Formats: sequence, structure tokens, C-alpha cells
Amino acid sequence: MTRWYYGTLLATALLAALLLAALPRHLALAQGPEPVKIRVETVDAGFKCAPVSKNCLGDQSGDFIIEVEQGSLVELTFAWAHVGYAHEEHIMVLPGYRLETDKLTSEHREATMKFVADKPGSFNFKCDLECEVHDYLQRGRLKVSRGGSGGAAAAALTPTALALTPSSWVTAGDPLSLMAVLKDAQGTPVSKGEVRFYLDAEFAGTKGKMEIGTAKTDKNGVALLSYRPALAARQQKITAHFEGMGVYGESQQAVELQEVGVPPPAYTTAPVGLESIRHWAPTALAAAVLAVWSVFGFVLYQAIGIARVHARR
Amino acid sequence: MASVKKLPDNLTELEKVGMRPLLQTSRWFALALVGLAGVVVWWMYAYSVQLRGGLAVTGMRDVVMWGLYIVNFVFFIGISHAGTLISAILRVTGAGWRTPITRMAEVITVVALMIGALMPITDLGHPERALNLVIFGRYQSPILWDFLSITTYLTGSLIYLYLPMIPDMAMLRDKLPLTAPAWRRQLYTMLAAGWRGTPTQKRRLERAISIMAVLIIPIAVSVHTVVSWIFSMTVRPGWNSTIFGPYFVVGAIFSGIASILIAMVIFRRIYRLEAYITKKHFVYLGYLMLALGVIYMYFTAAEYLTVAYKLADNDRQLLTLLFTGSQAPWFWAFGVGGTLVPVLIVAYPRTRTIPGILVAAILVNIGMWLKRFVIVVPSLQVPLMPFDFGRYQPTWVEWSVTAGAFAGFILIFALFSKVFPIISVWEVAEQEEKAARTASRLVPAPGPAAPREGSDV
Amino acid sequence: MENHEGISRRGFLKALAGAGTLLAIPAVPGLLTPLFRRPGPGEAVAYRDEAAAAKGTAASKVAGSKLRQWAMVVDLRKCDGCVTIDEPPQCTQGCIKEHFVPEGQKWVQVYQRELAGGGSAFMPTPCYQCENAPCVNVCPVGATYHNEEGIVLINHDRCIGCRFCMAACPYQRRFFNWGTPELPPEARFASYSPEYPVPARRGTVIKCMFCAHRAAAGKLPACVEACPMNALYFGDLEEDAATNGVEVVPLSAFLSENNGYRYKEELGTRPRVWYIPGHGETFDRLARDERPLGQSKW
Repeated sequence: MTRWYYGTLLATALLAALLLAALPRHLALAQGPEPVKIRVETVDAGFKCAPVSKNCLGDQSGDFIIEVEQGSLVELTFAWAHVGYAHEEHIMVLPGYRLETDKLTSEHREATMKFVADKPGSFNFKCDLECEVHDYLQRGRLKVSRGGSGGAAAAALTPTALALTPSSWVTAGDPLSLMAVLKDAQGTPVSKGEVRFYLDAEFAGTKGKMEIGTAKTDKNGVALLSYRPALAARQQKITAHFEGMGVYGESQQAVELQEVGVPPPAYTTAPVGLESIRHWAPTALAAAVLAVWSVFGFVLYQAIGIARVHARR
Repeated sequence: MASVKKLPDNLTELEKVGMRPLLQTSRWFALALVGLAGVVVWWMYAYSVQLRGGLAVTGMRDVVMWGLYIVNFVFFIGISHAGTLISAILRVTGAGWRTPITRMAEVITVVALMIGALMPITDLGHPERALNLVIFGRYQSPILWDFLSITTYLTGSLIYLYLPMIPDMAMLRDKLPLTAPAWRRQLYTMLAAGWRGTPTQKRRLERAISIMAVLIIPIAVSVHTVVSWIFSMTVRPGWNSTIFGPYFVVGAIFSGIASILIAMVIFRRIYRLEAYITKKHFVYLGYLMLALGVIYMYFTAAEYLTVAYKLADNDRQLLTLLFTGSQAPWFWAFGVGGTLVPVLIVAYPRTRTIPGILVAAILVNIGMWLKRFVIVVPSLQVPLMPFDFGRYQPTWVEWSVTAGAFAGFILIFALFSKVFPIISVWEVAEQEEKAARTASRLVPAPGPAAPREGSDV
Repeated sequence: MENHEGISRRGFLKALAGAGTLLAIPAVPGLLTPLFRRPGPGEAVAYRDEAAAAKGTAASKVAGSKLRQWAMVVDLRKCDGCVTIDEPPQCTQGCIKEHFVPEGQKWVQVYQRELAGGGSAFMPTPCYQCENAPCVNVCPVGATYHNEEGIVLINHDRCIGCRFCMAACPYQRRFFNWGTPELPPEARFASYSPEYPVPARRGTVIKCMFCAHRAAAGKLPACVEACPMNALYFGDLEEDAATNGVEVVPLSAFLSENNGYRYKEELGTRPRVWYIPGHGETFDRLARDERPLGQSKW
């Protein structure tokens, strides 16, 4: 009796634990719609949808098209499935959404792009490597149809946060390292994210955000930019901006810099003359001219002498 | 002038020859002087038109911004090399036959320099600011180098012209007929500088002359080198050349010799110098001209072949313009008529006569003027930006100034020959004495004067 | 009698020697000037020649105590020669209006250049304000010079009109006032300065001066302001920024990212004007567009 009771309790606890363990995942998924899962195999002749999906419009032909509705969350998985070409390697890219996969090889066979298809239109995806004979085969198109049932609101982007950390005081003329850390709402670093840095500039009466550089985040979500303040203004506002990528939303962060000290000239004109020659050339020229003219003087003195020689006699 | 017809009897034949032009002037000569003066007045008028209207009255415009004035400048500076360089080189190398022609050569130098130096001033937009060269001169600019070397050369040439004239001035002071005007006597007395012909004086004079003869050669070389650098210090096609210095110097001496030859023919004829300027002088100078002509052809070939082989874009445009384009007549007139033909005329014994050499010399001078034209103008016509070839059509003002410059050159030269002996009397006499001594030493039977080889035609 | 003569002769010769020395004198100061004379404030001296000039005069410094080093970028992708709006090139027009440019001169000229495979591109050409400026190098009187901000200016009170600078300029960017320039009456009231050479004077060389007078007032050059396509950027190499009046771009990065080049770079003149290759494609001008440039009006 007791054993049965304990057994039941244990089972319930286990079940509860299992449920609890599973719960967050369900909850997370519950926040948005089901992801559209598409699995694309790279085969010797190109691409192939496996399993077959309604989103796949083309197959193994020159026109391999995947169609999704705008606003849907997409999980596009590429699977390495070559038969004849064991050494084939791929990195799949979707430039329209600034996405790229890890490298696919015969050992590392699967890689996934996860993103919210928020932009409508037609986007190419392809292998970014020199793929032996398959260069022209491993390419396809992603069609994001406008509107749809869900619309743009259907899949919310995961919010991100940028932390920008230079010291707010910089010595004039010294380059400084701008470090931006990109994390999602859970605090997980976001890698391969493009962070652009802007400076609030005013030049000749025109105000604007002047882009001073771009950096990509690494595995730890860190983007580094070396920057040397050049604007004459002492106070400078620098903004780091991440415009979103895949499932990640946009974020930005600004920081104020205060320059101390007098900046050295940033632009130096190249030495144009030959410095060493310039030092002695005028002297040499003047010496030569004066030498010639003093010989003239001497000769004329000789001529005067002609008269004197006679007068003395 | 016609009042003094008779020469004193106490003169040697040579002194008579030297003095006669000073006292006797033919009607034709006077007429020629008046004609030349007329052209010079016309030059002044043309220049006054330019002063009033600005350089807009010329054919120069923004693309071809230099024209005949600069051509004349280079030409006159060129023939100025005749002079001093030839006479100095011959003096330094001890060529005794030079004596009857040195004076002429030296005068050409001085006059050509004076006329030549006027040309860039004529070309200035603000001639009244020419003194800025002195006040604000930048030593980095080739124009300042030009200014320095031309003033130096002109001064040196004047000294070098004056020094060998001192004994002749003394001769004129002492032997001028009493009927001669007083200003002549005063002038010669002043210029004779107390010359009595004592050995000490002679030594002093010889020393001064030989110093100047040595010094004037590098100065003369520097002058035309620097003139060429005005062009070759730019990156223009045809000007951007390293050999321009020597190329211009050789061309200058080439045209300088031709100028002396022309002057020799004229003065020999009108002042009856046949006994002193003989065929030998023409042939010797002809040989010099031949040699320099050949060197000049070599330089020309070197200059154009190296450019034509590589055929950079702008160079192709320039060479097309020169070889087959609108400037081709002038270029080939220079190349064939101005160098090849004269060289052949002098090289071929049958045509190596005084008239033949005269024709060659005239051809050389025309050719060298054209050469300066095809150096200056076509290079400026080549488009440096994506547009069409520049155009240049000299106006009557420029032609008038050019004609006036030539007339002025001849006029000053002619007037000089009316005031000073055009041959160096004392040097010729000295040379004759020396020749006689040598002859008497070699041949026991002494003659009064050494027989001159290659007598008159 | 003879003695008296001798003295007079000697006197003459002394005078001659004296005259010789006098003749020598003009040649010397020109040479010695650069040796012994320090340039006065605002005096025309190539700024690179004088270490002192590098410090600059107070007027030319901006707030951050830095000297400006003006530059220009011409984005040819945006330059359609104003053919798509059926107007004469507006940069040229703006320049003419600002400076009362004498008729016939185009300080900022738009050239039509052939493209590799046929067709054409337009190329606006101001004075390139070369750092190793051939015109400045050859000027015999220092009438043309760099100011501290790298702009090549002309002192029209000093220019002798020899036109050597025009012969030396490999870009044909200099003009000469051959006759008395015909100017509108209002030009007569302008007060002349090398930074704003109005009214133009006969017998002197004139050219684009990057609107130095406007730059000093913090304004963009007239051509930049007049360009309807915003193809011209005026910038400062020191601040490393440039603007076309709409956006501010980081100058050096902008040039690198967009393959900026300078015209006839191989000459070593180091112009301060860069081009970004293009043929007006931003405004849908095709390379083979055959519409000609409009005629400028003075």
C-alpha cells in the first residue's frame, strides 16, 4: 500500500518535473506562432526538400523556390546529403536578411537559419563557398508573400539590448575602442550581428548622423571598433545601432564623449619638396650668382686698371 | 654723315677698312635704316594697341596661352648664343681665324639678348609689374632663373663686347679725322679708357678678356638651359622632357652660327671686308654649323622617337598634330628644310660656296624659328582635359611685334656698325703679324703678309 | 691735359663699374628674399615652406583649434550633368553667380568623358587645390600660394600675368582675363580679396578658390550648394568629415568604401578633389544617354 503510494507520488513528481522541465519551452513557443519548419537537403544535383513541405515550390531544378508568408517565424534548416561528392562544403547565405549558416560538411551535417520573415519580396539564398561543380546548383529563392493571415504582428522579434562601453573621457587625438555588447532579452549573447556606429556630426552647417564604422559581434556578442575622434567639437555623441537580424529585433545605445587636451593635427600633408635640397639650394644659387657677378666686378676693375697703369707711368 | 668722305692717310689698309663704315654711309644703307625704323615705329604702335586693349588683342586664349612672343623670345635668346659662345669658344681654343668675326658675333649676342628680353615683357599681362620679379622673386621658379641668367649673360656679354674694343677705341681716338663730329671723339676717348698700348696695359687687357672668355661659356650654356626649363619643368606633352636643356643649347648654337653667317655675308658685301672675311671663314663656320646640325638632328630623333615609341595618350595627340596634323607643314619645314637640307648643302662640296652657305644659314634660321613655334604652340594645343584641341591664330598685333623685333634687331646691329668698327681691327692686325712671323720662320723668304688661303670667290 | 683726360677716364670707368654693380643688385634681393626674410602675417608664402605658417593665424583656426584642410568629393554616380532636369550644369551656374565670373570662363566646368564601353559620364572640375601644386611651384613672384587651409589662392595685386602657372597646370583649371572683363555693375561694389577675387581684373590669372570666403563664414561653396543632385561634397581632411548639405559622411571612409580616386593621380600633384566613379546612375541617367550638356549663361 505504502509502496504503491510512494510509487505513485514518485511518478507524479517525475511527471511534474518533466512537465516543469518542458513548460518553459512550451511557454516560449506559446508567445508566437508555430515556426514554419523547412528542411532543405543539399544533394549532388542541387537542393531538395526533405521532408516534402507545402512551402517548397520547386525541387531539384534551376528554380528552387521556398515560399513563406510575411510575418511568419521561419526555421530554415540545411542538411548535407551529398552522395557523390563527399568533400563538398557549404555555408548557406541569405543576404536579403543578412543571415548565414555555420559550415556544412560531411561531419557537421545540419545548420539552421531562424528568422522572422518581416520583409516581403524575393530573396536569393545560395552557397557562399566555391562549391566545386555545384556552384550554380546550390542556389534558390525565398519568396515572402505580402500580408497573409498573420501579418507583421504575427511573430514578435526577440528584443535585444546593446551595451556601449568606451570611457566617457578620451584624450584628444588618441584612438579609442568602442565596445558594443549585443544580447537578447534573456541575456544570451547574439553573434554575427552587425553593429553600426554613428556620430552626431555637424559640418559646414549640416547636421546628421555620420557613420564612423561597422563591426560584427563575435560568439560573446561583442563588437569592437577602433575610432579616432576627428571632429572639432569637444563633446561628441556616439550611437551604436543594431538594426535587427533573423529573429532579433532592433536596438541602439548612445554614449557621450568628452575630449580632453589639444588634438594634434590629424591630417598631415605629404612632404612635397625635397627637404634637404631646400636648405642649401637658395644659398648655392645665390653663391653662384654672386660669384659670377664678382668676377664681372673684378674684370671691370682690371679695365679701370688699364687707365691707372698708364696714369701712374 | 656724307660730309666726311676722305679717310686720313696715316692709316693702314686694315684701319681704313675698320673706320670707313663709321664715316661713310651709302644712300641705300640710309634708306634701309629708315625702313627699319619705320617697322620699329609700327611695332611701338602695335604694342600701344596691346597696352590699351590688353592681351585680348592677341590670338592667345586660355588653352593656347603662349604664342609668338614666347616663340620669338626663345628664338632671340637662341641666336644670342651665336655670339659670345662662338667667339669665346674659338678664343679659348686659340683658333686664330676667328679674329675678323668675333666682334660681329658678340654684337649679335648683345642685341639679340636685348630684343629677346623684351619679348616676355611684351607677353606680360601686367608689364608695369615686371619689377615684382626683383621684389618678390621666388628662387624656385624657372622664370626667376631666367631673369637671373639673362641679366647676368647680358651684362657679361656687354663686358665681353667692350673689353676687346678698347684698343680699337684708342685707335679711333687717335686717328679719327679732325672733320669727324665731336661726339664721336668724346665717345671714343671715353671708351678707350686711357689705352696706350703699353705692355702692362696689354697684359691686363689680355687677362680680363681671357677670364671673360672662360666665364661666358658656362653662363651662355646656363641661359638656354634655363630657357628650356621653362618648358620642361611642366608636365605637358612635348615639354616634359629631360633632354631639353642640351637640346636647346645645341639648337641655340646652331641658329647662332647661322645668324653670324648671314651677318658676315651682309657686312662683307656692304663694308667691303672681302680681304678679311674670306671663304675660309665661311667654310670653317659652315663646318661648325654642319656639326651642330647633325647633333641637333640626333637630339630631335632621340626626343621624338622615345616619345613616339611609348605613345602615351597625350603624346599621341601631340605627335599626330606634328607629323600629320595641322602643324605638320611647319614641323616638316623645320625637319627637312631647316636641318636636313642646310646640312646637305654644307656637306656637299659643290654647294659649299658662300652663296650656298648663305642659303643654308637662312634656311637654318627660318627652320629654327619654326622649330620654336612647333615646340611652344602644339604642346599647348593638346587637350589636357576631355575637350578639343586648342586653337591659335596670331593676330596682326603679334605679327607686327614679331616684325618689329626683327627690324629692331637689324636696326641696332646696323647702327652699331656705324659707330664702332664691325671687325676687331687690332686683333686682326695682331693675328696677321703672328701669321707673318710664323710664315717667315717656316719659309726663309719673308713676305709682307702671310698669304691667305682660300681667297675670295 | 693728358692728366685731366686720365682722371675723366677713370671717373668714367668707375661709373661703369658702379653701373655694373647696380645691374647686379636687382638679381640679388630676389634670391636672398627667401633666405633672410620672414613672411609677415597674411603674406603670400607657400605654407609648407615655413614651419611658422603651420601654426597658422588665429583667423583660420576653428573651434577645436584645428586648422581646416579643405577637400572636395564629387560623387559621379549622382552627377547627371543636369541633363535629366534639362538645365545647364548648376554647379557652374552657381559659381558664375557667386563670383561674377567673366564671360567665357567656367571655374567649375563640367566635362563629358567617354566611358570604357561607349557612352559618357559627366565630370565637374573645380580647381583641384593640389598639395604639390605645379602652379604654385612655378610662380616667379609668389602671387599664387597655398593658404594655411590648403587652398591655392591668387594675389591679383602681385600677379604679373606671365601665365606660367597656366602652362604648368595639368588640369587646365586656370583662366586669364585677356581683356577688361565685362562685369555687371554690382560686381564693382565687391571688395576684392584673394579669397573672393571680385571684380576680376585684366591681365591676371583667375580660378576657383573653393569659395574660401564662404568657408570662412561656415558656409558651403556655391557649387556645392547649387548642385540639385547633391553630388558635390565639401569636406575637411582634418575633421575627416564632408557634407553635401544633406548628409554628413566620414571623408576617408567614404572615399575608401566608394573607390574614390583623383584625376591624373599619377602626376603626383596630390589634388584635394576626389571623384567617386559613376555616370549619374543614381538619377537613372544611363551611360549611353545622349542628352548633351546645357549651355552655361553668364
